[in-house]
Amino acid sequence: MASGFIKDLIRSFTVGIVGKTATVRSASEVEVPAAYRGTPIIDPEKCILCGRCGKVCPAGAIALRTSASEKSVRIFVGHCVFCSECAMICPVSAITMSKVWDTVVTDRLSRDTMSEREIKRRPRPKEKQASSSVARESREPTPQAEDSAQIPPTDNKSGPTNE
Amino acid sequence: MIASIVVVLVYAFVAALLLQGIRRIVVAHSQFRKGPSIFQAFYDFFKLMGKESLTPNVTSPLLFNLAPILSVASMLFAALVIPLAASASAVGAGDLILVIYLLAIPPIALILGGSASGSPYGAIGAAREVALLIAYEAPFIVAMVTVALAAGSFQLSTISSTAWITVLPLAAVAAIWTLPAAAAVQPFDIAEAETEIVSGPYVEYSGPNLALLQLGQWLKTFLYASLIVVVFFGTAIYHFGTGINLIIEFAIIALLVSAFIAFWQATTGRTRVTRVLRYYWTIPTLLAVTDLILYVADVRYMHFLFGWAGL
Amino acid sequence: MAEVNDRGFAKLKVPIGPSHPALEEPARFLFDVEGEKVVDVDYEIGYNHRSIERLCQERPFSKIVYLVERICGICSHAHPLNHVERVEDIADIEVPERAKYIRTIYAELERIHSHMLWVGIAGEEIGYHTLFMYTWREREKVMDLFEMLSGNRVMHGCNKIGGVKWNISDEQTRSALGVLGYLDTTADKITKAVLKDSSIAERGKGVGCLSKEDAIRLGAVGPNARASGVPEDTRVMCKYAAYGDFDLEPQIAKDGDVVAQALVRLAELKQSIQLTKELFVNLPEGPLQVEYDEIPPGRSVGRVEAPRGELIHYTETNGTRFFERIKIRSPTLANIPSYVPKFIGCQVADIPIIAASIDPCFSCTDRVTVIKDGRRKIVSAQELKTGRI
Repeated sequence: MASGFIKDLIRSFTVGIVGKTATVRSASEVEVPAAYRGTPIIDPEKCILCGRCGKVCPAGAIALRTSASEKSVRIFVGHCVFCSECAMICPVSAITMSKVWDTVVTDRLSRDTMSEREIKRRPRPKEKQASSSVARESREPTPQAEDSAQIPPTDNKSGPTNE
Repeated sequence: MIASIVVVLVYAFVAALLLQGIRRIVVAHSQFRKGPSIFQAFYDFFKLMGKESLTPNVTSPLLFNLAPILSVASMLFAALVIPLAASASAVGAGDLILVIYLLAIPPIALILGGSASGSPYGAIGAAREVALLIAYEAPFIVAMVTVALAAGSFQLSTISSTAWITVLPLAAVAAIWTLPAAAAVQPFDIAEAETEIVSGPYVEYSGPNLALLQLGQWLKTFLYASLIVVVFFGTAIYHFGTGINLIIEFAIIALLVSAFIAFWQATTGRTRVTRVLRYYWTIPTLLAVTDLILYVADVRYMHFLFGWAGL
Repeated sequence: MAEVNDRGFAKLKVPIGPSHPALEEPARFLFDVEGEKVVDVDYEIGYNHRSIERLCQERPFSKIVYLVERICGICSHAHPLNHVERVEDIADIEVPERAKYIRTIYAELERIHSHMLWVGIAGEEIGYHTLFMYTWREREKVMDLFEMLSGNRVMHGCNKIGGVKWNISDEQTRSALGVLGYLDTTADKITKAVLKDSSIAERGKGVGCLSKEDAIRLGAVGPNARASGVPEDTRVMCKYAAYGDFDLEPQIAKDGDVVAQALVRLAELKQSIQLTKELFVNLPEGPLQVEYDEIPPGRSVGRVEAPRGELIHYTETNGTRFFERIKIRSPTLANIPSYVPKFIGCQVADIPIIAASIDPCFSCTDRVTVIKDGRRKIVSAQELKTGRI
């Protein structure tokens, strides 16, 4: 039962305690590779509101709203499965998959989309600091979570848009 | 006297919980990961104390609720009786037989509590704990009796005046060999085998009941190791004068012994309960009995080997 | 007081599940034990039923790949692979060579990570946590490789009808070959640790034996059957995707016990690492996908070697943009009846390792418990023969 015991003892003493552990202490130490698919972001200037992204989304996470006064496209982060179909089908390449991996939402039907988050925390430059600042922000309660939750495609309430 | 009792009890509590933290960190490092905080056992204990203790609809709620209390009470008493901090223990006469019996009470409390759980997991866990207890007590008791024979008395104050490892190393090896079974870690965590019987005897306990039951087991691990250190290393640790120094030295030794448990835990899996009996009743018991026979036959081999060094 | 049966043992029924540390996914086993020996086992599955087959009838074609992918996390490539191959079979779509190779690369990488996962789980079930930590730490390299190639650790989303979505660049090939070289030496270390270490050998030898006749009679598939000596491997029999270009031997072992299961999976691990290296090196140039017109009405049945065994998909289209029927028979469903000879006669201590030995993936299994007039009925063998697979 104790076969190789002495060898294991020495090995674990030298490698395990002195060497580098596999545990990563902080989430900011994580590096995502180039092909990583994070949350999709709609560029408001490029979007032509054609609605193809909403039709192709397998999770039903994109809501296209047209009313008399405004049209908007909104991505619901709580439902997104990060498949990037929307990014691939967009005819004007308005949707990009960011590298944001920290997608905590307090409400699955949260109406706070990634586009609006980007605009709100604009002052900081992107990449490493971006992910940690979004991480900090997602711990605050999402601003619109208190609104009554509605199924995304049949959303009728007016609210902040992203043109 | 009240002050020394309180000091010893607090010390035993803190040391037992710290020992668990250290064991988990050492195991984790052997697996290339950082472990939990060293105070994790404290967090677990105090969190559980704040929860609700539910008693299932069982035939004997008395036994079910008595088991944790029995476990902790016997261990706190043992902490007072083993000479932890000085050559005389906190309440005076410490007797080896008394301590051995006290150390057997937490497993018995676990057996009672497990059987009284009304759950098949508890029943199987209790049966396994019986087998484990019988297995590891055999070499341990033989080793302790050998030391008592050599010391001429069962009083711990008399026994701890000599460092018996220098006279009876085989008995020491047999006693230390039973440590992982007493601590209920791999390869001997069969009573509370997680993947097989979901905590075994602990399965129906919650809240302060569970906290006390676990505390009883942690204290048992610590006091088991302390007894071995007191008996086999005796006065070697009492050179340093004041009480606080003694406690620190003692804690260090107990922690080293725990590291031995942790390495073994990290490198093995669980054994089967049928194998445990055979495992402990062959070689460890043989070692202890050999030492007993050699001592009775007046073969002082350690003196023969090392007598010239003046030991 | 417990009743006592005629041999003097207390009649004790030990439930394992639906939620139990020995199982990763919910399933219910009820064991009749005498002391430490199991004399009978009864099982119930269906706790993970999510009506995926029904959902497939309500969504258009392009979304079904994502739905099918999410049947299981570990086999998350085998299901969409089989699905798109069925649709391509119905519509007579010829997929480019590069796409076939990329699909095969993902399939083999998935087999690698699944078998490493199994070794870890097997260690965990017998209480050997260090083996678990060690193999899963090495498995992270494969997950990082997946993330580099496809953007996600599981649920790669790389299959689509007509080809694949993500390309593999030369630089990715270079890093992948580096990782695979490292994994080769790791596989040797893991094999040595599992076979030479007395913990596994002691707990696994002669435990949970399945004879070759039982394996064939009960319809066991995959590594579970190969551990009993049945020389069947769907990659060899059906030669789907790029497997036609390679010479594969089914890895078999003779005894059918837990150690044999470990041997088969470790041998397949080495084989898959070697095969993946060859796939990366010989990746042909070409387009990633082909365009296709409408999917005509039709049916297709086909199978794929998922890491756990033979996975069967039946797909039927009716000319609209929805599927008429998709029926999935996962390998674990075929392996579950082989639990019975394995469990009977074993000790209670061996229950978790035997449960893990067929590499169960109850999420794939999806079978329904029929509740009729308030009474529960398991689908019987007769009904299985008449209507369903």
